[in-house]
Amino acid sequence: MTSDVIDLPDVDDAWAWAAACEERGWGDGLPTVPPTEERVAAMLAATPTAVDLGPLPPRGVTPTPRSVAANAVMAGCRPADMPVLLAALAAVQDEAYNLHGTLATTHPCAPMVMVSGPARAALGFNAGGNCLGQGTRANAVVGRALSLVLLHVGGATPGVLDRSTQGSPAKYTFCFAESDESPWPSSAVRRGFGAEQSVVSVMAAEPPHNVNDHGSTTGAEILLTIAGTMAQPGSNNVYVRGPHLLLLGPEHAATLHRDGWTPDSIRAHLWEHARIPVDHVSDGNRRQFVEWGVEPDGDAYTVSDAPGNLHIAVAGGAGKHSAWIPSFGGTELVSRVVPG
Amino acid sequence: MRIVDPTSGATSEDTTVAAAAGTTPAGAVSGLRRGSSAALRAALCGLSNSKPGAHDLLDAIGRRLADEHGLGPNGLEAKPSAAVGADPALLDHLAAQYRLAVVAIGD
Repeated sequence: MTSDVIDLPDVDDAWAWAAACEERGWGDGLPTVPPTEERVAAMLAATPTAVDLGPLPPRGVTPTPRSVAANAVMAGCRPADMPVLLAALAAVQDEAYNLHGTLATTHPCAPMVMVSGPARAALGFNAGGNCLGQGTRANAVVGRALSLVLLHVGGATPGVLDRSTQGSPAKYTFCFAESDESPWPSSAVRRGFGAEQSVVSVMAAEPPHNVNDHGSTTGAEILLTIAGTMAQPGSNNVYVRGPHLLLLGPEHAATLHRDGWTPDSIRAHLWEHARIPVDHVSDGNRRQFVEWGVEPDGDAYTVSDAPGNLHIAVAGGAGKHSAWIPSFGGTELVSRVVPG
Repeated sequence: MRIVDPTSGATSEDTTVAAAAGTTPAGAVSGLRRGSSAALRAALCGLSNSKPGAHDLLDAIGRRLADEHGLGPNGLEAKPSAAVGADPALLDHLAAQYRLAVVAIGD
């Protein structure tokens, strides 16, 4: 393997570095931190050795610890963020995640990263107010670093091998943590991990679809609003099927819990009630659904192919909002323990 | 400034050897040149991503390449799902059956 060090003799300030990146097609359009050898070495000092990484599609190049660290530096990561980044990178390489398809598709999916367990507080991931928005370094840089690795090492260049029709803001970064204000065990614990384990879960996802319900006062009423939000004919989940995530705000979750709802009963209820009336789907789209083996159940379509494909977690701050996060369809929610 | 190349990584030897030897499974149509008659008379395959428009697009391209360049016979294959990459077995099949392939990215 040839040297991975590049000498840029004319680059001596932030503006020249930004120009050098642009010239080479590096970066996501926002300013990056130059991955000098010293910064990469500092990042590697916090890198666990137990993460096994394979070739990244579509380019087929296997990232090295140094190239992952270089991208982490560029994204603004701290050395302590490296284990979470590596867990996320290992998770998207799981065959079930379908990395090649999710990177090359015309769909606007992005690699969503959800952090659970002690790493959340230890590294300062935001699971509260504006957790899906800007303003928290850990959320911003870990999601961004993952996207940069997929761009630089994987070769998912927009307009070239990333063929997304419109893309989405989530492609810059899409990372948040589960709230400790959840009335139920975390989704990671419900998926079989220990509460003492730090877990990263990834899914090729659309940006969040807001569910605004300030008027409902019961869990059943809130679920009616959520079901209506999920019942849209334009999602991939309708015909590609696959996973989707309901991210309940803590106030909606508290009302649901007060009324006796559990993640399992919520899932079962939404499976029955989040239905897309057949007359909301065009004739042409119905024919396409048939080609994918999808027929209506009576006079409506289901939103995916099984209740278990709806994952449920709690995150956010004060307010009467939740989010539904549909996926690419041909993907899975994949979880990995953060290496220690 | 000296930096670590963020695009760097390890490439499998198999991939490198195959590419160097020109034995990658599907040739790119952009490699065709007018007048290279031997290559242009090789069998051609259109590989559809299985989306609604891809079949029609590839069918039209195949007919045009046949009419204007004498390229054929033409075949048409499809991935089982638009949501996943082509399976290596499918690529092996194409490599065994055809000399050139056109991959549709149009929907």
